[in-house]
Amino acid sequence: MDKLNTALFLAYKAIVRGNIGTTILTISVMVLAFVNLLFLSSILLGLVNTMNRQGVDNLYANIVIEPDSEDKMISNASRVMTTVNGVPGVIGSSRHYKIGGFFTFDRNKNNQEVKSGQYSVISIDPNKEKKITNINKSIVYGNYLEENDRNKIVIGKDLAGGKSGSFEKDSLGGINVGEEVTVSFENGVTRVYEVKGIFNSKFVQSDKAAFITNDEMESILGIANAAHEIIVKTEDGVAESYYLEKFSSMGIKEDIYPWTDYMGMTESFSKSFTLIRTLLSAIALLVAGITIYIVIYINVLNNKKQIGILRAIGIDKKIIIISYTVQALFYAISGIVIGLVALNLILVPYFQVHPLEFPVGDVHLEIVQTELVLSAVSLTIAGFISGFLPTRQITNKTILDSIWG
Amino acid sequence: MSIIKIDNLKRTYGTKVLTYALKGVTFEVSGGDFLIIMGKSGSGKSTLLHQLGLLDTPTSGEIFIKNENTKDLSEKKKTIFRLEKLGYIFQEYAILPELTALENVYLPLMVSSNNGKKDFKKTAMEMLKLVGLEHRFDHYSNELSGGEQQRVAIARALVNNPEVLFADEPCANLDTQASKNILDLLKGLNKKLGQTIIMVSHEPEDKKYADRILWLEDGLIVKDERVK
Repeated sequence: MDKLNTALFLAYKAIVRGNIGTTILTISVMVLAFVNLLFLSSILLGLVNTMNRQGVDNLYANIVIEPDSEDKMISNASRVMTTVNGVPGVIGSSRHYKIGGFFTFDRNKNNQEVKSGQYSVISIDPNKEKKITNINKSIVYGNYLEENDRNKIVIGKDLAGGKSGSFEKDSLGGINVGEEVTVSFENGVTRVYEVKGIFNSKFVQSDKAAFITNDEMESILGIANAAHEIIVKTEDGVAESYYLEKFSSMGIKEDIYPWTDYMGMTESFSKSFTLIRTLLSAIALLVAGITIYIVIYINVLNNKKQIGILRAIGIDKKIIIISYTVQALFYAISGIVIGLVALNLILVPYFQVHPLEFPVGDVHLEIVQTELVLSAVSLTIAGFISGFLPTRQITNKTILDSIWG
Repeated sequence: MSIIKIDNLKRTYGTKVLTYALKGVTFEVSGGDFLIIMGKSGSGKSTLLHQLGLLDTPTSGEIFIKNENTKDLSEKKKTIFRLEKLGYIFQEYAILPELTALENVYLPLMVSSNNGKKDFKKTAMEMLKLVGLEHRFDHYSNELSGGEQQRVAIARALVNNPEVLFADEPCANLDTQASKNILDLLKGLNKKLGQTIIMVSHEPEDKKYADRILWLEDGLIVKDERVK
């Protein structure tokens, strides 16, 4: 107990009476090491989560019901929707028709500057869709669809063009609200639509699509109460697999998929980013560990003479090692605490207000608690080793080497 | 009665080219003596003191302190020996800058088994009073003169009631007056408390403080002089 008290006393005095500039610098290095450990990793995680969230919020919701392999459409869609909407935890469902269309836009109607391209047309029940996806909230020009809209279309920013989109060359070259676009559907029907609204979901997969009402689509296809897909929104916190089983047990014969099955591209991004995050974290940890080691090692080396004096007056090696290890832990833990404050009170709120803009959406810093704990523990261990090893090395020298060497 | 006995003590340095710092030194020191080891620079004075203070390990030979052969002591026991039985004063003011004068002095008491449940702060205060620093308890090294720092080092060396106090040219970095004060203090401790002191010096004027002078030359004792 005397030894521990003495070690803590020496550590306390060294910190309190140490050079304030050196202390601030050492703790700053620890803060940077800790933040660096989490920062890039958190951005990549934010990117992955944004991609996933965008897919759920704009295209697929949580669960997608498709016709089984023998059918091209879900017949009696209202029955399926009534069934799934009755399951506790289901927020709502929406049926979609999805069909390809060849878009032609001739602004001056003189065949001089015709822009055209093949795009996906999705039909929706506008009011039901509001509960399921965020397209209605993403309108940046004009208005969202209404239930009785016919010959009206809302199109994505990347399809419209001229709105700083990501695929300007493949767009309609800057079509505006109120202008007309001709759409030739796969089944041979051609219609002229007035652009009612342009949306920017910041998700490239939906921003290259166009939306019309289900009534309009049914008049094109000549069918009713059917769907190419029904998307189902569920409450957070319950795994999609639960609903998959539940829906099947309630007699839904159609194919049922979780949203993740539709995020092929983002899934591969996600996997790669996870690998990159792991590698970056490992490298950052190594760099942080080496940095801390060097900083503490220099501190211990600067105090070599004092270590020699302490040994000369009969202070046990263990006391000296504990004292310097406690000092190193103090620097590491201070760095972690300040780093946590910086992350949670400065960086995370900053990126919340000023998100990074990616083609998949706005990316915020997303910190996983387990990663945070892991980083804090790793740095604490690095601090411990950085205090322990150099002090042990110096206390293993002869006393005279420590004092004069 | 001899408190220290040294038998054929040798210390060499280097591996390929050997430097013989001590070539076989034998002598005894009686309790209560004020012994000064004198000699030219490089004669082996400090090396000898380092061996006696257990700061270094001799190449061969034996050192008995209070009949205990220090050769048989483990590293841990040597540490305890340094803490509780020996006091050491360095040429430079080897006090810890982050501790006050009082803290520097009571530090050895914090870990010493000698302290029992005694109030070590009170003991340290008494020790600082003894060396004339009752007005400097809470001062740090940068607030003390060289002479005062050396007094703190003396108080720290004495605080565990050591059998022997070693002083390695304690006045080398002090002015004449401060040197005199330190040597008067050491002599006073020797006379009043019967403290055994072994000091290294190359100043001829210091001879007057000694009961006995050992003259070293090239690692050997060339003269053992008892001063009247």
